[in-house]
Amino acid sequence: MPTARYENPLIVQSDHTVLVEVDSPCYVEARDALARFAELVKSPEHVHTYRITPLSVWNARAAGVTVEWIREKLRGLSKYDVPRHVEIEIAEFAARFGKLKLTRDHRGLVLSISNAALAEELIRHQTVTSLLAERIGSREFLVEPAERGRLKQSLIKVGYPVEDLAGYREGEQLELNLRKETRGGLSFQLRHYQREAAETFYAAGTARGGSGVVVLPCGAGKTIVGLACMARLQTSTLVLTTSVTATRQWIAELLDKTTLTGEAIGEYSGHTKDIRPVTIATYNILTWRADKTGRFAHLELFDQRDWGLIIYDEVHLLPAPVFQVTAGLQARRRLGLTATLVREDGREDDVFALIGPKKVDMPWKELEREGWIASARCHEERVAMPEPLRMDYAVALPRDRFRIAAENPLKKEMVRQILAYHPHAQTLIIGMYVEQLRELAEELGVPLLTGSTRQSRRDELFTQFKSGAIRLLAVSKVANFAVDLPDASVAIQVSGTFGSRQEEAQRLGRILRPKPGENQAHFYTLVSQDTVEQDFALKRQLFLCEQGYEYEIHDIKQKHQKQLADESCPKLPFPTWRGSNE
Amino acid sequence: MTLPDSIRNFVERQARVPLESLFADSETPFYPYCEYWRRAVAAMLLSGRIAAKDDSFPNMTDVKRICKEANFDQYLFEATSRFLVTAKIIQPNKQGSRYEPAKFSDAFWNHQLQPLRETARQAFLELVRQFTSFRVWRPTFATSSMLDGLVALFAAAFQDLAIRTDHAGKVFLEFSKLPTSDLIGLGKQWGLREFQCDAEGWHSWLDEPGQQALLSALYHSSWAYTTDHQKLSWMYLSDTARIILGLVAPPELPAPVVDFKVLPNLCVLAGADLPPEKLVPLFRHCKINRIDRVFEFQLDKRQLTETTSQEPLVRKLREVLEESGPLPATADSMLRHRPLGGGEIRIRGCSAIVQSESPEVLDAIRQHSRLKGYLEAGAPKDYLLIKQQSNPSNFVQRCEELGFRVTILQS
Repeated sequence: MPTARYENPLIVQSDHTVLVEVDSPCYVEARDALARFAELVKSPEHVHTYRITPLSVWNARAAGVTVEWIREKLRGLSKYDVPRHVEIEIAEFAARFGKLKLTRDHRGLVLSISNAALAEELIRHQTVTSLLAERIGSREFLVEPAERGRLKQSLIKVGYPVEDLAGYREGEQLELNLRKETRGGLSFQLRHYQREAAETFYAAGTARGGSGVVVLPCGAGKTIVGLACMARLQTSTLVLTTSVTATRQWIAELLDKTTLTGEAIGEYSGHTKDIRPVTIATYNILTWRADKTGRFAHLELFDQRDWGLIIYDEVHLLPAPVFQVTAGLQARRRLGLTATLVREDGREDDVFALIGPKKVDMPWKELEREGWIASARCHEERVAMPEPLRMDYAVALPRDRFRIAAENPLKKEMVRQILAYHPHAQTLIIGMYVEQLRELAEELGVPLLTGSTRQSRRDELFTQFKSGAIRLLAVSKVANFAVDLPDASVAIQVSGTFGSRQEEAQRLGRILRPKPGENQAHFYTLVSQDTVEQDFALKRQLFLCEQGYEYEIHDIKQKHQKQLADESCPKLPFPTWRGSNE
Repeated sequence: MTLPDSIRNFVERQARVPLESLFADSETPFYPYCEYWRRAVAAMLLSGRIAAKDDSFPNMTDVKRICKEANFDQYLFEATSRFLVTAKIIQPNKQGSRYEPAKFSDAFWNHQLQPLRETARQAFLELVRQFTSFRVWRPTFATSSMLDGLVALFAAAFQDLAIRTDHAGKVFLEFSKLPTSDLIGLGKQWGLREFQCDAEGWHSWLDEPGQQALLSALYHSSWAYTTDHQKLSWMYLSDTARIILGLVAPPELPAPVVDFKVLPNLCVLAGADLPPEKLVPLFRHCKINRIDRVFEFQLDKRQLTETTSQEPLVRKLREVLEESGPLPATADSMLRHRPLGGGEIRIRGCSAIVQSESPEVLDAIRQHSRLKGYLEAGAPKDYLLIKQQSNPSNFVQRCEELGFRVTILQS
């Protein structure tokens, strides 16, 4: 019997999935190799899963990786023989790359196809033909600049990637440099992965770079990567963010870490409509319209200046109308920033086609190991349902069950216990239901921040929290994204939006900013035991489990909780088991 | 080896292509019947999630359901399960409702070639019988027809060659009519120890329905495959057939895939070469996510609830999973959790329940001398219960007579 190379970390499956054992001595070599031609699907403890897709192979080919190199790496690092058909299919995927090129010359935007037979095959696809302007040769077609994005999207859907070498508009020039010392007087330099991300995006200014997505964990400094790209390109920039708070944080970072002055930076939101060489706008204002059938008046912002770069912050939240506009903006450089490419609506493909391919994806745990983000411990605390509420829950309609479980009154006691366990930590209490948060905030004497809190009050609370003037803050889902609270080290999630994986990741992200001292954060999620909330919690945790985080699950101490339930709840509206028995 | 003249001329007369022109790279032969998907089918049959029909083959409704879950080809499942049952690797249990290991189960799971050879040849002949109509007369029983000998000679003559699929049946028939002495000579030349020649009997078997039965048996035992080449379909005898029939030596057994891990995201990875004692509980209690050389399962609450209403079964699964190492907290918690099925419940009957617009109305009914006799104690708060033996229509009529406005909520 031949011996398997059991010390090797890879197992190549027949469906192009690659399993990687993290504990193998060759793990690092395997990870670095796979990063070039496979996509990381999930990375829970022990075994990571990658997938080799046509897209990942095309990305590899674009970066100069050869099929022979891929085959050699797979064979050399695999435990068992690589399935032969997988090798053949990788070669077939790779052969498709470079067959279609989009270039610009005196005739305009030209799509060139490597051979006439393929050209004939492609023009028989209705979705492709309708986007081609004119045939100018057996293998060449003129393309309207406005159709550049949609054509690339359609061709990818029929299995042929376009190598877009048509370049970008340079945009209005803007002098901008990163400071060596922040305005606050602290030393500042890019971290190695931030520099690499910016360089990968810039690609020496060639048409091979200039569009793509950088995936970094919350707290790893995605904004700084954005600033570095702006400094590399020296061009006017439109930054799109999720909220006014995030907009203000971008402005603060720009002023603090770049040579830009206040005059060069504009805010475009519901409050102010100021267009400057660097303008920060919110998705909300761009997609605002007077009524359901009205036009999106603020989308004109995209044409109101000659933007050389558009940055999409939290790109996984990009709303549909912005996707449509982005399809027409392929001549401008585009940078997407996100912590999770997971979109709950499943439109990851559109992000790829319209913003660009994933340029950088750093595993969360790796940055944690290097100390760039705080090390986090995740806990799921299961709380009993009070007996009477248990009956309400049992007879409730399915759609009401989640809310009954999420608003379990016994969670208050658990919050108190956790707060007592971390008496000095800056703590966020995060929830989905405002009523629940309001009750908690009143009982604990904690300030509350929700969607209806005025912006000035929000800024005031965030400032107080950052300065340490207040230690506890209750926040609704408005604080899920792009809120920089560097000193928060404990988060208690009392309720969440059903099974949203990205919300869980974003909420953990609020406490991942590196901290002085032990650099340790704690994330607690409170879940009513034996309810649908437990199932949703499991779904929410999947993304983080796949990023290498493990949840410690603490079941209720039955006795203690029962006692609490009996003492703190009103008498039962229905006869209890014991009662009816008697 | 040189073929006798009559056989060589016969081969040269057929439309044929060399196998190397069908496949770009020549593959190392596979060890017979050790493919991961075949082991998966066996484990799924043994998992108890598929019922056996009276003819001992699997219930196709169950097969469709499990194949959909596992994203597995149901036709491949059907063919493979037919072979496994026919080869006495799996058999229906005594009640005939589920499957259990059969005589050659160990040989299959442990890759023991000699017993596999014996059972595969028998299974091939049995498959010929299953695919042959009872109405047509045959000189022998299929199991004593020695058609496996014919296939062995055919494989020796058409070594490394494929023939047209649509001609295959006729080519077999014509081949069987070649001089018996040459066929015997060919058998001896290849050292076919178990070879027996029955040229006369073979012709009678190979009429048109017989040809179809032979080809179906070849495909179901994985002794022959077809492939497309230049817009035509070509059939060739597989390495499995050649190894089972003793024409070529078996290759080395591939390195066993015995990886076994439970991950925090409730995913279980289990190598296809793990013993059935480990694989079968996983196929029974977990959601099947991927069938490949490393099977991927998902611990799923709903699935656990549906398959494990009894505590010992959950314990069994837990024991198996614990062999992979300490369980992650998420998995540990799910397996510790009491399954939803199997608890004690008590039921009381009533003929109707009454809801009122206010507690005062409710109290009035409860106190009314002509109505209170219909009621019984123990109703939930804000409701009245009508006794099981009382007719609710009478109660409704009496209420209306007394001036209550009654709405029937549901008949």
